[in-house]
Amino acid sequence: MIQLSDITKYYKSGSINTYVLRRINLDIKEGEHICIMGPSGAGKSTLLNIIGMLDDASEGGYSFLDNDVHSMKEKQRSQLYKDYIGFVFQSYHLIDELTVYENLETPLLYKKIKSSQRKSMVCDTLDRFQIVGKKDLFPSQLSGGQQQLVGIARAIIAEPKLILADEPTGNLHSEEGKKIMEMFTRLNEEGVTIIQATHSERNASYSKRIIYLKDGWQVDSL
Amino acid sequence: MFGYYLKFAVRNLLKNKRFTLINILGLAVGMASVLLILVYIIGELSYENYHAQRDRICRVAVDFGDTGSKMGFAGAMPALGPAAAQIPEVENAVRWRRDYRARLECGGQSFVEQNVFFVDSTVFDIFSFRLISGTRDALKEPLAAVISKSMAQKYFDSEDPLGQTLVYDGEYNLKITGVMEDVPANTHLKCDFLVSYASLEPMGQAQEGVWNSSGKDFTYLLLRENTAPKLLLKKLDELLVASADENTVRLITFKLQPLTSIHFNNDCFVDWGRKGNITYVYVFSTVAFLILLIAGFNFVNLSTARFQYRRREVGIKKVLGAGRLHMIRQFLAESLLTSLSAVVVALALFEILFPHLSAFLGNNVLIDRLSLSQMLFIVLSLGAVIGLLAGFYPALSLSGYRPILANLKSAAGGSQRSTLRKVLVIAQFAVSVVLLVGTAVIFKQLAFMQNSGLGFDKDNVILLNVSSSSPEGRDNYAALKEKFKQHPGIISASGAYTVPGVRNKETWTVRTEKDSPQDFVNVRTTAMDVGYVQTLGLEVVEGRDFSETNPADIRQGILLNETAVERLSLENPVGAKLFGLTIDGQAKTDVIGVVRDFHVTTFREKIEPLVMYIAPAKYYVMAVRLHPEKTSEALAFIEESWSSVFPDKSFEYTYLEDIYNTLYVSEAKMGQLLGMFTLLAVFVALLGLFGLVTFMVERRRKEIGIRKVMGASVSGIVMFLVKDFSRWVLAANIIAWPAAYYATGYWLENYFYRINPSWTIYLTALLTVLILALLTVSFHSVKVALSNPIMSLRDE
Repeated sequence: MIQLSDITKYYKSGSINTYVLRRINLDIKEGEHICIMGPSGAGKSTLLNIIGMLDDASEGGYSFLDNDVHSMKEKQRSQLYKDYIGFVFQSYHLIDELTVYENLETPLLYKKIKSSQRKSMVCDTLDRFQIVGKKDLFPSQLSGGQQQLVGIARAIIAEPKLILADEPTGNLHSEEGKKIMEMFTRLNEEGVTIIQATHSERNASYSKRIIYLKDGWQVDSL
Repeated sequence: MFGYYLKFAVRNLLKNKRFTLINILGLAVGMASVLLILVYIIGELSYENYHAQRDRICRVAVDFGDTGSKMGFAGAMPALGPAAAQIPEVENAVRWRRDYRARLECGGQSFVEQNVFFVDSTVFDIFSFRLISGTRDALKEPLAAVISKSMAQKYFDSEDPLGQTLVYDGEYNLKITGVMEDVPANTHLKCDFLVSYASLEPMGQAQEGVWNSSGKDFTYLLLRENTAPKLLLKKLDELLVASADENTVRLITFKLQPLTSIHFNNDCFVDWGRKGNITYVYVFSTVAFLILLIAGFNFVNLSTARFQYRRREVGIKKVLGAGRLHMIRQFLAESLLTSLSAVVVALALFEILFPHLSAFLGNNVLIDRLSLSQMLFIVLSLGAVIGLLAGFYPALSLSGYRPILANLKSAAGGSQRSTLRKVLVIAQFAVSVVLLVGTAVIFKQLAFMQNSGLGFDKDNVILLNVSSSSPEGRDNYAALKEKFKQHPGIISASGAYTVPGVRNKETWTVRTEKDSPQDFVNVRTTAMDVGYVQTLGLEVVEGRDFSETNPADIRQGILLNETAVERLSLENPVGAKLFGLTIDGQAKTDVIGVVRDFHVTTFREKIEPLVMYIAPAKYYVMAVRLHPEKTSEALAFIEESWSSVFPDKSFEYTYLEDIYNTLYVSEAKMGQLLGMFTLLAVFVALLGLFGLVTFMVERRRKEIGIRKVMGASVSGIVMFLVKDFSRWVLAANIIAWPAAYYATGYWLENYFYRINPSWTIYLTALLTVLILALLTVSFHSVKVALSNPIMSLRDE
């Protein structure tokens, strides 16, 4: 599904290049549950951004479902990620002005899905995540765990093949975090590929494959 | 999707109540000001629009007098109209003669009407009066009249006025032959009664064919298409030469005034209707534009400032699949919603303010010419344009931004955006400063005109209407003057042709003994009685005043003002002789004294050389100086004396001071109005600054927290926040000063006697804006500076 070859990312500051990622090679198959681990500043988020097509690599090749991402036009690329990728963030990033229902609806709106179909998709998802009772609440009225649940629901509502999660439990206490991880496991069992960045050992234990990053290098262990 | 944008916009605006309120209020105040000014401007510029053929109608005005002492009259001689109609370039002609005080009776009721005009029957072929009943031939016959609808209501109530009779001047029966729609206020021909010109014949006032008399007949010509005014003027001159006597030809010069220019034309001694002032139209158009600019800048500024905080939102939405167009539409929906809410508030403000402004300006200055649909069109387009402009910039800049997850966390703004904000804030303050300086200069000039010495004492002088042109009038005047000598409350009294403050255009050409007959000098002249100098408190600087006991003074004595002495180059004025001034067959030659220059007109005009003489048959006003402590007794006595001399004339008087006060009414009103709009502009600018500071301080909250932890004091932090804004205000002043200098200089050129605005005005404007801005900035800064740094550092 995903092939990264010699992915390198650096930022130019003056005449010096600051390296964030160095020659990363990865091959991820559909249905995998992968965890990217490493200390702060190791390049986890950058790697996720590149996989999620939100950021470009400075060097190296990236192929997603046999499409060469780097040679694609902006429009095709955004179509690609709209169709196949969902994002989950550490600080949930729900839209404060919208209710739970409307937050879930938003990605469908941008995909131009018809109103009736939208409605049934949102209802299904609410059901599946057992948050029907919360549908008219605003994010500020929910606990962190509940917000993240909505965040995940929003990420999968458009039925992506891949979910990218950046420290999804970082802001939660352990009980809530456990629930979220169980949710990821269930999704993975349903066939969704999951890549999460974390520095929690316990989260990592849910995944079948762990990739270690240190100072931008891919390493065997920390 | 539209519903989604709208819903989101509404929630977002409600969530940021302060921002929304500031934005809507500022914009609404701006738009309401623009509407008010627009009503005024449209009213002024729409003069004579009632008449469909206005572009082809001209009035023939007349300059009368010898070269050098010409005086403008709006009316021409009675023979001109019919004769001009024969010129091939002229399609039609009509004469208008007004009776300012026409007494009309009907069914036992009697009214004095001001808007009665005698007009030729061609009037309906030239002007577009809308007849409700009657035909266009309605004014062919003598003693026929067409009246307006509201007058028909007033005189005949619900009866059909057609065929009814109005009694004119107690003896002439005018037959109503037509009713027309009421004429709108924005025309100088505001007529309620049109009486056939032929009626002047039976009334004994007709002067058909007369070329050498009077300027009573305002003559309007309907020109054929593409007629060159120059050619027509030439033909009119030829007509004059062919028809009039030599003297008339010498004294008369024709001028053509396009109908649409008459409202702003001030050349004529007597004209009809309220005069407009094109300078005010320019000034207020500019002010409207500036206020709108300030309000618009506010909107852009606050929107861009706030959109900084929405990078996170844009980021999330983009991650969720939103395209650039989605985001642009969403931002535009928000800014349009804001500006359209402002439209609603602006209309409400307008409705509240309009009656007050209208009453304040008085005298039909504001004519409500705008229908609701026009107003809606104007404000909606304003709202849409501002909304789009203000929405587009942030929409374009933010929507193009690529959501890097790392950036979602920070809300720091880009530097080029804050440069734009700085420029806009500086521009706002620059405009405020210009308006402040402008208002201050107008008020100072006004105060200067009202408070500086006029050269005479205008206080405690009352004016009575008398006329000494008939022998009987002369006796009455003398009797009155004699009586006034008896009361201790009356210091002195004197008749005169006119008094300062009332327009006097009597002009003669005179020369001194040593000048050759070609070296005539134009001088103003005025007739007066002995005692005038004392009554008005004029100061004799050389020689002496007229003396009652010296018959030579009354016969041939004259007083000069200092300007006349200078203009005639008289080294020893007292005892000098002047030639050329002959009143009622009597040459006025002997200079007996010189009075200090005094202002006979406004400060707009230069003091002109003035020659004063005594002419008992030329008194039309009587000035009486009262003792300041015995005013009421004196007034009672004067009224009593008046009644004994004029048993059937009611007693009316005016204070000279009041006449002077009315001279500057338009300046005073313009000053106050400009002051009001300046306040609004400054208010809107400060409102914007307040909003902006809120956001900027918010953004620096963390920095402030860190500084406090490092040991910064509250005052240190406030100073640090305030420093930036002070620099902006200073920059704004530097830009504004030259602009203000030129603008006020241009306005002051209207006045021959004017102030020289000192630097203190500029400094005051600077300090005013600076202090207001600093107060606005400190209000929020102090709050943040006082807050516990833990609070601002904790989140992340």
